[in-house]
Amino acid sequence: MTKWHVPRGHELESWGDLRGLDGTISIQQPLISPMFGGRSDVEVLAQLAGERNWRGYYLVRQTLRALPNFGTVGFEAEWRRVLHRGFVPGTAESPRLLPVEGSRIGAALGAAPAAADGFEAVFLADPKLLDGRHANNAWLLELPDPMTRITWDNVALLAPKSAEQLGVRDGDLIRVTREGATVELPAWRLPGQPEKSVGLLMGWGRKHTGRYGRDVGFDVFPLRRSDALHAAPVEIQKAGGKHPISQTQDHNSMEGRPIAIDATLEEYKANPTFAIQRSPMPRALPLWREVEYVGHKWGLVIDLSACTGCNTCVIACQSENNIPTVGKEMVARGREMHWLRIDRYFVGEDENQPEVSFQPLGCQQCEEAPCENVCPVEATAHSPEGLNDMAYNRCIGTRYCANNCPYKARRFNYLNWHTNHEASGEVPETKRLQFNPNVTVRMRGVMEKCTYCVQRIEMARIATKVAGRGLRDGDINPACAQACPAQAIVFGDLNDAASRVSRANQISRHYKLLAEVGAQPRTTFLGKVRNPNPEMSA
Amino acid sequence: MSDVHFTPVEEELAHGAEAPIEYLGERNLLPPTITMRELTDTICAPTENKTPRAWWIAFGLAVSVAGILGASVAWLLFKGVGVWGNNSPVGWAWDITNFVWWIGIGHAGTLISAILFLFRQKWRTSINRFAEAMTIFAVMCAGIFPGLHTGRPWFDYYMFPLPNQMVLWPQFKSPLMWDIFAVSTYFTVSALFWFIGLIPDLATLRDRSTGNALPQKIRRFAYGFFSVGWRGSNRHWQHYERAYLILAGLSTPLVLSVHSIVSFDFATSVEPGWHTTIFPPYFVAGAVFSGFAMVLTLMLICRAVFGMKDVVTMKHLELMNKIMLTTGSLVGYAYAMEFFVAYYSGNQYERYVFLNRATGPYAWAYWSMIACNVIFPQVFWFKRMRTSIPADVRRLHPYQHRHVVRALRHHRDDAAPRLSPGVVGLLFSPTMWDMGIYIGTFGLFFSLFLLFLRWLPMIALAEVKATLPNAHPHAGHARHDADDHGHDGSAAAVPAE
Repeated sequence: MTKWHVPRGHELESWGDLRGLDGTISIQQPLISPMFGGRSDVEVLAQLAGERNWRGYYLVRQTLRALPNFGTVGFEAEWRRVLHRGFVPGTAESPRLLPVEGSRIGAALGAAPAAADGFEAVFLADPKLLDGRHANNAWLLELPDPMTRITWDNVALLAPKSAEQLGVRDGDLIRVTREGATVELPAWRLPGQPEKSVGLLMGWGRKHTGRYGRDVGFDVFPLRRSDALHAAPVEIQKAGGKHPISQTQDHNSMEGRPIAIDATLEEYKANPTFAIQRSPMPRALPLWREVEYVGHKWGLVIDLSACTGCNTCVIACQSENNIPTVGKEMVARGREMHWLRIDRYFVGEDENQPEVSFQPLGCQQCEEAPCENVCPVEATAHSPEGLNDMAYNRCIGTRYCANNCPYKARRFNYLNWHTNHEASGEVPETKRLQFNPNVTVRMRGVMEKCTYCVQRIEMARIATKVAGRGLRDGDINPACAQACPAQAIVFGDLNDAASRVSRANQISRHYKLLAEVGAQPRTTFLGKVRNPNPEMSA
Repeated sequence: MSDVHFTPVEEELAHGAEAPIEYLGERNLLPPTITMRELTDTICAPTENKTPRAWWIAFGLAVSVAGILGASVAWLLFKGVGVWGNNSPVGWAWDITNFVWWIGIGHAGTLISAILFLFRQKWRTSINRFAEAMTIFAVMCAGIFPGLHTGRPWFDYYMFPLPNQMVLWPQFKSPLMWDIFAVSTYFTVSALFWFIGLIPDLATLRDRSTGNALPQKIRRFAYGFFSVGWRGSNRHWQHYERAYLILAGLSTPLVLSVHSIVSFDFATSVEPGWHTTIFPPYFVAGAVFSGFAMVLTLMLICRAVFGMKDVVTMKHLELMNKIMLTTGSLVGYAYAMEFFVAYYSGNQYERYVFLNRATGPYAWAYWSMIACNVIFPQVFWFKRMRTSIPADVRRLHPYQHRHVVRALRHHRDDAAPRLSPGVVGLLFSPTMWDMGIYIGTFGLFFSLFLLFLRWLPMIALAEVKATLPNAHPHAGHARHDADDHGHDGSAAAVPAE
């Protein structure tokens, strides 16, 4: 192994050349000066090549200078224009069509040796770590797996029936063997996993990756060789012993309750308001005069039909709102801090062919918020625009609000998650840079929860005021809505009849989660309509 | 306990023929042969004799255990409330459980001192001092928990309606806020009640401290200071009686209100299994039940250790067991009613919670709770069992569990919100710091209690004397007509000695 290490500059602190998908030339511009004197890839290469002036800035300028027709008027002026614009116009390449050779794909698939009676291992890119390149990212390590809701670990996915045959239960260690290579890892039953097949997630169990990812999970690469990159026949035995697993949700079924409400296309056509019928408003008079919201009235709608459970919103929220990670042991104690979680449910009778529903769930910003009435110090209160605000400075941490929350959307700082306990108790310098300066970093003993990214609301308010206009629909996007690749999350002003969120409220699939409690949530859902392609199933 | 030998009530009744109050429809509580002098000597002896070795051992033990409390609290403050096993969604665990439990323990004291006083139940006099002391120390232990369960205990004062530069009030809609008022009122009134009752007895101790040795001088000064100039004059007695009556009147509603308000913490929430209107009476009955159990536990020990069997007789124990039978059955009724209402409501979440309680992961706790609180007290239907100490002793352990068990139930309720039962469903498991602080409060409680036993008259001397036949205005007169005595002679002309 190597003995030399080079401090590699982060892409946010170094210069570089880029090309867009269509070939457009762009410039990678640093956002900050290098924190620890790191060198970028091009700089190291230039030094190795004996370049006298190896600074990235110079190299990138040299590259542009070498472009034909660049800077004919004057290099310096054109360089500034490109820096401002971000790309060099007219450098796109024309697309080329590449024929798909179906026969070769078929051959490759056929080459995978079918297992006669043993198991077939399927090597899966991990939904979070991919091939392991993100193995030292604590956010991703603590992010629950979309299907198993497991954090800080990978498991061998087995069909419930296969697990029964092997006599293993969730978390029991199994030994997966292939031609002398053996991997021991915990088994996990996943409804929908084909029988006689074991799903192995790649990228875990790395030995050299940094302080968070080292020895987290189980390395399955010993089983994966160039002769069978996607699937391979393996033998499985029960190894004895158990591996503790930290899950954020350990229940698979909705128990017939109207939670993530769904319907088939036929059911939807016959009854477009299926969702609200299953979760009707309570027939009860309000205890006190309902508040009228003049001005803005913020609301959020999540379309369950669009949500794929990809977790992007969860990480976007974590990044935007300075949400800490807590580690495997603390997740096991239910102390994870995600303001936005995704609940996953298996639907249907057949355990081998389940449908899956995902439901992103953060604070519902109830108008009649049960949490507000029980706080003895009024640390959580309603804003005139209908947000359920947290005053961290006022919070003493009785946790009564979380007890009384029907959605269990509140998270409590049981310990000081941000500091390094072992060392000085100081927040590390790099971590400070990671924080969003517009969001309070919460100390131990304080309750917290989704705010609808109130800081973004205020920033947009200020920006539009400076610009001399009012807030318009789309000016404000909470981090989750901004990040959602399916645009399943829509935020806006419910008092503005033309806003996207108001229009979403008019859709027939619209419903309020646990409406029977009468908390009047501002976050609402659009029921899921299933329309599977019959040719793809079975 | 070697001398658990039980003196048949009949035997005492036979002696009672000499006692005129027999004809007032009352039975002698103490052996009729006992004199006032003997009573004074017996009750004052523990404070006057040389400290027994057993006391030092017990006190050393108690203080050591209280040290565990100190260590647990220090670590809690240093690290944060996360050193406990609380999680999400089980935001409250042993912290609030122990609070509810200790408050409940205190209830018997107030019941005995106030309600039984108003009902002229003279048998209370042998145990009320004891029970009141227990109340006060239990409330002190209880107060530790809500104070420390917060995430940032150094800001607890936000909960008090103090004027402040932020011009912020606490939130009066919150049941936790009501707790603050309920518990602090309860503590204040209980402490005052206890102190007022102590005054004549402290004066007795003062007067018995004769001699010029330094310890005697200190005793004279200390007891003299706290007996606030009591001379036993008629006017003193008159004021005393009136103050005592007023405080009893004030305390009586507190017996019912404190635990009702504590139960509001749960009853006013929207959580299935918590949101139940039966909670206030059920909490009160449960509190009296466990409180009486605690009084009995402590009393049986002290009675044996300090030789007070003539003062705390089997008759007292029998009456207490009757109350335990009553409250235990009340609690049993509440359990049954909770199930019925969960069924009758037609609410699927309520039904789930209750079924889960009896069959889910905390079923062991649920059924042991039923066994200890409902089934076991049923043996007290039998007089033999009511009047046998082994039965009492056997009962001691289980119901230490009682409120703990109740709270475990709460955990599970918590873990079973309306969302699919296991979405955020986590069981609670206590850490060593949970246990440390709980066990530690026992240390604190017993340390205080042992100090009380050593330095204060553990039985209300003046009040007990008032129940003696010879304290009766007509003592010595045989066979009076009951009609002549419309009043009762309690506390009349009791010498301060």
